[in-house]
Amino acid sequence: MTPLIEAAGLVKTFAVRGAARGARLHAVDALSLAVAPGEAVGLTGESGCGKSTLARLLARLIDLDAGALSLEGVPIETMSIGRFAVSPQRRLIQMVFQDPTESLNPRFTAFEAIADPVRALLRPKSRAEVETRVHAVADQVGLGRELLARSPRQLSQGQKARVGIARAMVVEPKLLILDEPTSSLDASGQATVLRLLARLRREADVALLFVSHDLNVVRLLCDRVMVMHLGEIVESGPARAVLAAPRHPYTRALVSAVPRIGGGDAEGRALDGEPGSAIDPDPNACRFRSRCPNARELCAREAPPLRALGQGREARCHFPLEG
Amino acid sequence: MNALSVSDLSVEYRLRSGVVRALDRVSFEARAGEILGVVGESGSGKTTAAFAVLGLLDPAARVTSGRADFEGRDLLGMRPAERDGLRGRDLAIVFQNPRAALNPIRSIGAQIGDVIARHAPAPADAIRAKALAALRAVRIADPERRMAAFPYELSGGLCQRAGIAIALACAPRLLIADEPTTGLDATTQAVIMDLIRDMASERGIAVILITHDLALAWRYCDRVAVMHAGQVVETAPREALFAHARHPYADKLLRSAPANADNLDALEPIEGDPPNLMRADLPPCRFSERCSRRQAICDVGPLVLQPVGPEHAVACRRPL
Amino acid sequence: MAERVARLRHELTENPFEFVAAGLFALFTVVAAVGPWIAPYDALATDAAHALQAPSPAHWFGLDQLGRDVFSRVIVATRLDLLIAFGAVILGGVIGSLIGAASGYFGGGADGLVSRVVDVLMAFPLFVLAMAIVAALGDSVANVIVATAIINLPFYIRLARVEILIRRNLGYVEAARIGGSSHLRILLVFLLPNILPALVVQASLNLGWAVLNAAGLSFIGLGIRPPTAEWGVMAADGARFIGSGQWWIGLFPDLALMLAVFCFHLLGDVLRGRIDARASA
Repeated sequence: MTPLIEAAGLVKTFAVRGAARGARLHAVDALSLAVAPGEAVGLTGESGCGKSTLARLLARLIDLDAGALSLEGVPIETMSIGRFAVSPQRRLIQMVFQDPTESLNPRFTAFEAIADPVRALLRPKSRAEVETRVHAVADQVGLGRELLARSPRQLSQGQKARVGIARAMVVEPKLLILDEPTSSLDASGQATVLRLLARLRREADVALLFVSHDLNVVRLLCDRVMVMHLGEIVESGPARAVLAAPRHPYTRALVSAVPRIGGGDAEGRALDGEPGSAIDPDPNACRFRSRCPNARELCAREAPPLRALGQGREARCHFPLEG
Repeated sequence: MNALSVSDLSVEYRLRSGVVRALDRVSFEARAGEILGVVGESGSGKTTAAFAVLGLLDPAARVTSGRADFEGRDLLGMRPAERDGLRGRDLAIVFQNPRAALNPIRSIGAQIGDVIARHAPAPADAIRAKALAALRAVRIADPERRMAAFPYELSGGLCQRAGIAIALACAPRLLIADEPTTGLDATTQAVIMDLIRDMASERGIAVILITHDLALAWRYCDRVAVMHAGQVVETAPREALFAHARHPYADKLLRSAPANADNLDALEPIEGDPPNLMRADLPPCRFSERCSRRQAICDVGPLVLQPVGPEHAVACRRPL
Repeated sequence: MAERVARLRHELTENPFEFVAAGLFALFTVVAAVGPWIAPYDALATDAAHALQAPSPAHWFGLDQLGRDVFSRVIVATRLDLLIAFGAVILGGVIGSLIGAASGYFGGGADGLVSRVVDVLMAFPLFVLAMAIVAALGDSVANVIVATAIINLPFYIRLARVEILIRRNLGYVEAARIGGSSHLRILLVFLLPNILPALVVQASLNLGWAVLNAAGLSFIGLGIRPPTAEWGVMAADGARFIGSGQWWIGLFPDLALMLAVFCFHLLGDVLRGRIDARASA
């Protein structure tokens, strides 16, 4: 089956101010992935691992330095961002942003915020059509009609989050990229949004790429998970399997760091020391070795490739953990 | 004797548009060497309660009833100057946003030194040595070099460690940690919380951990107080609370936490919103209007915490 | 009704400055609009026989050296001075904001170039620059407006640029991009309306300075020339007669000028207070 979106060898670097001349931050380094239609994939890792950059590369919000990107089999990396924005494929990939407040134009009412992509991307034939679509998606996300006339200042965090989701869904995308959509919400708000996303996924058959550092949320919502570290994918596989029995030491440290109610206190496998740097990393060494409890001599000599471990699991490690 | 004993604490904010009844007869205790979790959604009054105890409330706030006793001494009745002297020395606080709590134009070593100098004046090199020791205690790597670092040069995790170092510099006996790991990664969060827990038990500090993250409370707290709309609805040892919460709101809160759910269907959001605290007609139980178990008796005030088990109390007329 | 009165009284006592600013501004606008009709005498009509007459019930501000009624001239000059000020601020503000916004949004080499040009402009004493422009282009109201607009450009360019930089990567701008908006649309629909409050504050603060600038130019003989009734021209006239004791010729236009500048500054402050309060609400 053709993947919905497929990326091969994506590279994105940024110039670094203040460091040595010509130094570059390798936010995303030769990364490849694929998302099947209707699939829910989690993308997780610490801050600074590049997941937000990767999300924006896939959403074609920023340009890539190198690599191939195709949507439903059609390459899209060659178009400029400006041209992609007005192409018919723009509506197929949409995004929900992290901060519900910041992601809404203070000058638009909720209605206008949701209607804007309709007007820009769907060529509606009349105002009535715009209204119909906005109302339909507002109902779908549980946003009462009376809230549509309000400006962001008059909405709660949870309501603003739903406006953001409605705005992304109104153009009927095939892939919805969500950048930490629950981190600014408290427990009840998170529960609401997660159930909503699961329902939208079923009803609209939309694929989800869920960027989050909250592993509980990834566990509940995603079929597959990819763990990123310093610009690379270090582990991937079915979400529950990966989180229950990680094969990469970094994933295991992440998992044990996240408290589970009723769970025991996972034997202090907390990662000490500062994360390594993504600035001009050594291409001949594993980027995790400075914090890895299992690091051996080979890890400093050779960068491990992403190896298949069977049952859909992959890990970038010379000495993967036992399953 | 409890390190901190808060009883019947009520706080109001007087605004132009009305009066906000922020806290309603809040009671809880913190004990030396233990971590008490104060858990609730945003707006539940957890931070207000902590700030009231420390005397850090906004000038518009007024304590209308209750006591807060620290090692037997009445904090609320104290003269401000006396309480200022306690703060930083015996009472310490770690704030939510580490960068906002640090002075951006002073090195962290100097900031730790400032606190020490204020409460335990000593010659400059003695202070420097103590500051260095404080940085080591929070396990900052390469402390001699980091002493001179400014907050903007440090990551969020390191800033928070510096904040903890400042809080612990003068050996406090009560530490309030207000959402200390919000915005930090899970791995950094684990390190910071492990640190706080170790310090608490090693030095016999009473810790109050304010958080909206139930899983965090589960992992690190010995006892938990659940707050809703300015009221404490349940206090219990953690196993008792998480195994079987007796207050309908606490129960719903547990069911809405992603960390507590095995699958999406088990996740139950809480219906409705907390009441507006400016209303003049707030019911005695502020959760009653959303509660499925509400009956006439629930409108009979005032509502107090009733014991339902060892160290387990609930403010409810019809506990589960 | 009673509630409205009570609320009005509350506003008046809470924010007296706002009322003063609004009142003065209204006064100036009205006088500018209907000046020539309410002036008791023709501003240009001379009467050599009664020159240098002190203020009297018939002529509240007295007569100047050519027997013209100072009061009428001050009133009529209001229109001209305000026209120049608004014209310059609008012209400079609109063009400067557009340049600054585009510069901040697109960044890159063009942004660098714009910033350097602004730096060069700001390195000049701006009044001297205005003098040079008017001297080169010739004396006329239009040229005074153009010169004042040009020296105001840097402020708007910088302000618009910074305000755009702050917002360029916010969530709602990214959402607009992903929602199919072109760069131009993002600038016009999403960014400019949000930076408008800051620009309006800048403009109102600028108005006072623009008035002073125009008056200053004519005071030294550039731009507006006599016999046109304009505060700066009149101030220049008045300066010649201070020594000989005819204080009324210069004092009243100077007072009018001062009051106008004060009014615009106060208005700018009030606007800024309102906008800041709303932003942090």
